[in-house]
Amino acid sequence: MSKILVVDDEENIRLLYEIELKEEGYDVMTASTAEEALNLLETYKPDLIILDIRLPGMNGIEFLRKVKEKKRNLPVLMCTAYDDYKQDFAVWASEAYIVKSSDLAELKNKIKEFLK
Amino acid sequence: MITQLIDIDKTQVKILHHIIKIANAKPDIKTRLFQIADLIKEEFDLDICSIYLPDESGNFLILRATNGLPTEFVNKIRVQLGKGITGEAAQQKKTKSLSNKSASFAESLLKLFPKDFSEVQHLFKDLITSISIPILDEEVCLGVIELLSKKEFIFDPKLIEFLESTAHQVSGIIRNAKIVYEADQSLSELKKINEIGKALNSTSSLETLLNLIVKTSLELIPSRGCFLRLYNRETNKLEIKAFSGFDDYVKTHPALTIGQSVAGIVAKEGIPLIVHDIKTETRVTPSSRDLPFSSVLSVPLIVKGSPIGTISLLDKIKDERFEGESLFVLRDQNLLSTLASQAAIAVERASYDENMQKFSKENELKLRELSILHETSNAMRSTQNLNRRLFMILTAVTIGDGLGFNRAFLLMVNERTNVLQGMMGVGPSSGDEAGRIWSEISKKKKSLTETLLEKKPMEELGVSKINEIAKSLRIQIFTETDILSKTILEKKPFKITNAWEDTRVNKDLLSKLNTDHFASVPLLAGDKVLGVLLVDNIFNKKPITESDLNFLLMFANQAGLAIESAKLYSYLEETNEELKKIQERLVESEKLAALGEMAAGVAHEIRNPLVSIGGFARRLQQKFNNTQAEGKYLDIIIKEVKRLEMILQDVLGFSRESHLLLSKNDINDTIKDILIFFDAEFKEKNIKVNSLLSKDIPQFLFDFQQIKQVLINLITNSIEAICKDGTLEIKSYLKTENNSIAVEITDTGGGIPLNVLSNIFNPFFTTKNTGTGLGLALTRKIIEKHGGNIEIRNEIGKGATFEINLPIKLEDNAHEQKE
Repeated sequence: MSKILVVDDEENIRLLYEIELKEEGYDVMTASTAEEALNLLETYKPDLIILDIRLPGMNGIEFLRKVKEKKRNLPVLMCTAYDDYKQDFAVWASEAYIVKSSDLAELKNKIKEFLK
Repeated sequence: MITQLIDIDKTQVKILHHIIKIANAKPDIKTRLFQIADLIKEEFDLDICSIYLPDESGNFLILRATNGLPTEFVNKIRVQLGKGITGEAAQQKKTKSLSNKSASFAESLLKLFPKDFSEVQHLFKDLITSISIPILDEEVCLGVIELLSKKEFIFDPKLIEFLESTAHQVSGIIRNAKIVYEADQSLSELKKINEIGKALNSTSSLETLLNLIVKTSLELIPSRGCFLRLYNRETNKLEIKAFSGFDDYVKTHPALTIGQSVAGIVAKEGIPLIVHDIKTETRVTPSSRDLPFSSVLSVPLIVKGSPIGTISLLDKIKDERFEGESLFVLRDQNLLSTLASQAAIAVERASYDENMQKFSKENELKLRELSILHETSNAMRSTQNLNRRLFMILTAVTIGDGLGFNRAFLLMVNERTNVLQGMMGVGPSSGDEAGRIWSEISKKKKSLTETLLEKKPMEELGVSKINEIAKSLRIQIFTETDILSKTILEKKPFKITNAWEDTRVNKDLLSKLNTDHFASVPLLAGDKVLGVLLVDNIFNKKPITESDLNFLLMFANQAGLAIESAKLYSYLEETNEELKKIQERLVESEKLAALGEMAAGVAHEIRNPLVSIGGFARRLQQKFNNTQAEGKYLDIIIKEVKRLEMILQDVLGFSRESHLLLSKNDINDTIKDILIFFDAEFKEKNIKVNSLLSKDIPQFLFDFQQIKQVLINLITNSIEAICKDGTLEIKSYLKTENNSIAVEITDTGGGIPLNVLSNIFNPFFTTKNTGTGLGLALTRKIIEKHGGNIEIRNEIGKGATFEINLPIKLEDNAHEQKE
């Protein structure tokens, strides 16, 4: 069973993603901060990360950098309410950039793409 | 009667009676002297009776009346004082007589005469008696009565006494006549001088006055010629300003040096001079002894103590009324001096008047020039438009009220190409048109300012032939060879009169202008040469004078400043315009940025709850189907959330502008810019740079800043690969087959290790301790956004080549920019 780590500071979003993705048949772990997620990186060993950009403390882009430095092949899907980060060169290092939507179809399709 | 003394008293009474009659008679002295000679010859039964009077020099006796000698000898026969009986009588003031029967007597008489008279020797044949009685007035000898006879003469003292008393009577006649003549002459001279005084003071023109002085001088002392000379300070010469007679001499000798010849001495010394025979006179040194006149009377014209000129009379003509000499005498000198003193004042006054007039004319001209400059300058101040100012300049140059040239062309220097480019031309295109326009202008009577401020001709200029010709003029500025180049390089005006034969003139220019003459002046703004003003008078053929040229130059200087200021103004305007646009864009983008920031903030705040609302609603919907009311309600919630999300998307979409700022740029210029940027580093690290940039590459659309970033990234990589000592080659060329350009950057940094090569474009991948590791990833991203690609050619041990390909995009297609 593939493991997905969801990093988002919004509790309701974490809950929604967890339920939806579990229904899709994934093992899901959530983190509300990048620091928390960083710990889970080694303990939980996720196969894919869903990452918000605006986070309290360390932001998503810094976290992305740290992830990519450690595990270059670990797919990270940027999932944010801000589509203007798409222009930020730093997010190019991520595998995908998804604008948050109540329709999770796009997110699910991307996950499938990277967890074949 | 000479042999007998009979009737002597009777004869004497008769003679005395006649003489008294003659003395009181009206006829002039000449006639009366003849009458006396007739009387004496008849009464004393002589062969010849002649009366001699001394000439003005007093050295000779001249035959003035005779009976017995041919009348044509009168005035011609001269007897030297002291020579012969007659000469002795005059010199010793005593009656002399001689009676000699020898044939040699007649001969000795004849010897007294010049050779020309040898043909009349028969008249003297057989003459044996000669008596000469001096005509004495107190102690002065007024003449001699000469009696010659072929008969013997008895020297009766009574008879001699009678003859002497007769001579005394004659002396009375001569004296009276002289007094009358002199009084007459003085009167007429006084009258003349008076008239002259009046005339001189009523004549205003110097020329008329000078001619009047010459005319009057000749009336006063009849002579064959008269020269009036005035001293010219500039040439330091005495120039003949008015004259009468000796035209040929005047033509060949219009001026004398001070001190030279008679007038030269007179002017130098300020005193009058009489020369009787200039051919032999040693006091003067004329330019030539071979002169058409021999005697000269010259007096100075003196003003305030210094001579301003001379009046010279040449070859006096003898006065018919009196037995005067044809020589100038003191009396003449005094007379002419009196005239000269009056004339000098009048000449001074007239030349002063004339100078005043000249000055006032010059002033008028200067004033006119100033007013043209002023009006043009004022008119030009009404506009900052360069073309309009150029047009005003050319109008002022060509209009009659202005400088009045027929045509004017303005050429400006293009400093970049070093070419003199025709900008504008003003003037009629043909002689007919010229005539029509000029007559129209003279009818309208507009002031220069009014004409300059007219708007209409500016519109007509667009279709004018002359303007077209002007615009077709292009002259490469070379040194020396071409006259227009010379005008610019030497900053000097030139006047070309025989253009077709002048090697300095560009013949192509001439045939375009279709003229044979012109003048060119530089347009200067301070030290800077802006261009050339070229003018001609092709239609009225009026010669361009030196003063025309000087004024044109003055005008061109002013025009140059006006052009310069208009140029600066238009540059300022352009810059201002550009600044304004940039500012507008800045404001616009600031607005957009603010809007975007706000929208993003709002989106973040709204989107997250919307995701939760929508997400959970979708979950609930799965529990209800559409037939149930709850299912329908959920449907509404999901759709409304979707709609809100779409609205957010639109708002955010607006702020997400394409960040490719495309503009037409020169890729080579971009490369050069960057090489300069790295110059110091290249030197420091001893990196040699070979740049091979193709000149065929057109300007095309790309984001200057971003491509610059790409090149900086690639060159930085190369420099880091080389480290120290090496070569960097940068090449640009056109790839016509796919309408793109390529830029290759090759280093000698030993190439990229194979394990690195596969990751080279990955983000955050770096072999360095510094840097983000985004360099090459970013580079590829930028190039791909431009629709291009990047390739690496790697040679381990040698170096690497990065090749960028960019499509040549010439039109900004908005859709392509968006992602």
